[in-house]
Amino acid sequence: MTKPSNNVTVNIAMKLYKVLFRPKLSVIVLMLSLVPLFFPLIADVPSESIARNGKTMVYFYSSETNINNYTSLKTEFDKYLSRFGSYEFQPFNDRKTFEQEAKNRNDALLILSSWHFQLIKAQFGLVPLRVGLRNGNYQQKRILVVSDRKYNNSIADLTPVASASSVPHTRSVLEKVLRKHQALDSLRILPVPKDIDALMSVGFQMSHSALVTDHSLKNLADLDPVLHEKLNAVNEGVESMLLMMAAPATAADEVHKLVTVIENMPEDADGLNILKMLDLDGWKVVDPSDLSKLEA
Amino acid sequence: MRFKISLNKMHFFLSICLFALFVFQSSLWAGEPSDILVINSNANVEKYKAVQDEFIKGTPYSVTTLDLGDGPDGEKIERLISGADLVCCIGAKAYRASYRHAKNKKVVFSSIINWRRLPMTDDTYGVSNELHTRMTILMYRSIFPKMKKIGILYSRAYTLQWFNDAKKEAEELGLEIIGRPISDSSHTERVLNGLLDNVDAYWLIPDPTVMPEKKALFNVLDICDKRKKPVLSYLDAFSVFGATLVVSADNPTIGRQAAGIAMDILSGKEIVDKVQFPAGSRITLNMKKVQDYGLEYNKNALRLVNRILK
Repeated sequence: MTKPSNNVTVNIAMKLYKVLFRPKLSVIVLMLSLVPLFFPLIADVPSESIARNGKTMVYFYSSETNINNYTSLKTEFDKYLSRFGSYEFQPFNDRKTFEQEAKNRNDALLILSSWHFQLIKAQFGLVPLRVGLRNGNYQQKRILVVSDRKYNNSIADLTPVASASSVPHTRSVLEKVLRKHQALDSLRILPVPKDIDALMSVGFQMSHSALVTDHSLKNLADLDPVLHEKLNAVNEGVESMLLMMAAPATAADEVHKLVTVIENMPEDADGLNILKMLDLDGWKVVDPSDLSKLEA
Repeated sequence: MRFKISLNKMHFFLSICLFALFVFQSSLWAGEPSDILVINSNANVEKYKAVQDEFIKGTPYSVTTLDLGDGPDGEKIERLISGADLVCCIGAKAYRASYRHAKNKKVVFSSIINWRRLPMTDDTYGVSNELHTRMTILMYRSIFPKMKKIGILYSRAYTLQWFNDAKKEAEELGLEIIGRPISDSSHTERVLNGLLDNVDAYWLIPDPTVMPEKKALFNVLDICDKRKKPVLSYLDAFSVFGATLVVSADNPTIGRQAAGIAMDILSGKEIVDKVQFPAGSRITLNMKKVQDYGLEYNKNALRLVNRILK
């Protein structure tokens, strides 16, 4: 008596399997015919070249700041650049996505940190076009700061290190500043939006140390001399260049026109204000001597 | 044949079991013990979500999450808490829920406005939602360096101590804070109008006597707007209603700090400051008001601004 019901169960299961997992030939043909429609989504074709509608792009990612001002940056840059041509500014908060979008793009200008430029220039075939200026300087130093409590030159005394740079960049600088590569793994980094936050966090004991630029430390001395007095600079790194404009050696003419537009931004009041959002106030051509410093 | 059918039956049964396991996996796992339980007041609220995301990213321990926005019952909360070594509470609702059940558990809280009003134990740690007063004043001064006198309405019942501390911090930074105490919100309009005669800007603080309801907020913003006096404040949303400069805590940084505290607790490190101030700030500048009021601002400080409203 049990056999028929078993057979019924098995038959139902087999039918279900056929319906669900063995589609008819016509369905397979139909699905295959749809593949070309989705080709751009699944193939290794830069989707931007389809989506951007022929616009020349500025791709921006800075490994040296965590401030989330992307919406305002995009609004301001797009408004400004639209006065000069079919250009679009695209900021990224993630290095991986930036690199995926920027790779093999002859129709895009990149704005990135000199540290990041050094890392990807060979792979991306990039050439440096301009370097940013701030108060006439195109370089900055990173300084490791602790509060005035006792510091025994041990890694444990520094944790956590507040930093407005990305974690990989912070670790890279700390390796050079501290020359204690092995112990660095145990160092915890606290990413904060801005250098001023990093300095305040040391001052108010949210972190034990901060890695900041010499420029920010000087600003703090002007803004809050009392807090500045409480902080001690214990190590400093080497000079590095500010943000750079770069593009592939084979970049389209329109990219070079765009470089000129951005280079001239300080001559326009609105343009200068936008550049100041990047903590810059000008640009200069990258000299061969600058390049050798970058290599060093 | 009998064996074959039995085998098919077994396959069918196993498939059903696997399917059920797939469908109900989250509820099965929810009962497992974990290192850290994150209780979120409402994961659909952007600021809470930002804290939770960064907390999870920042910790190497296994994390189970519980969203009170889904309305779980007390029994479930109690069961999950009992299996965790540490509880992270995001928002006041989450903290209250955990306080009832997390006896003798280490708790790390965040995103609670005025955390001092809540009951705490010796095992409570956290990150406050309010920036250090000096940090806020420093940001105001960075953006508006020519501002010398700032007015505040406060109440003796809630914010007298805070006001005295802020006044002292401001003096060290070369700013004068002029305050007027309020005992009843019906006096706000009259006292504020008198205060605005003597100050360059008005600092709106979260005092329940000064601002017991939304209407009071809009009234204060309206009075200041008519007098072309910029309003400095602490909540991003106020910039849309007319505040000129808002300095608030950066939520992702709060999540990272909470993760750091949790790691220190679980690794047995001594915690010196049980409740930290937020280490990151977020700034919104209402440029329309800056222009309407003819204010001079420090263009070099635009690098500090997250959001510019035009």
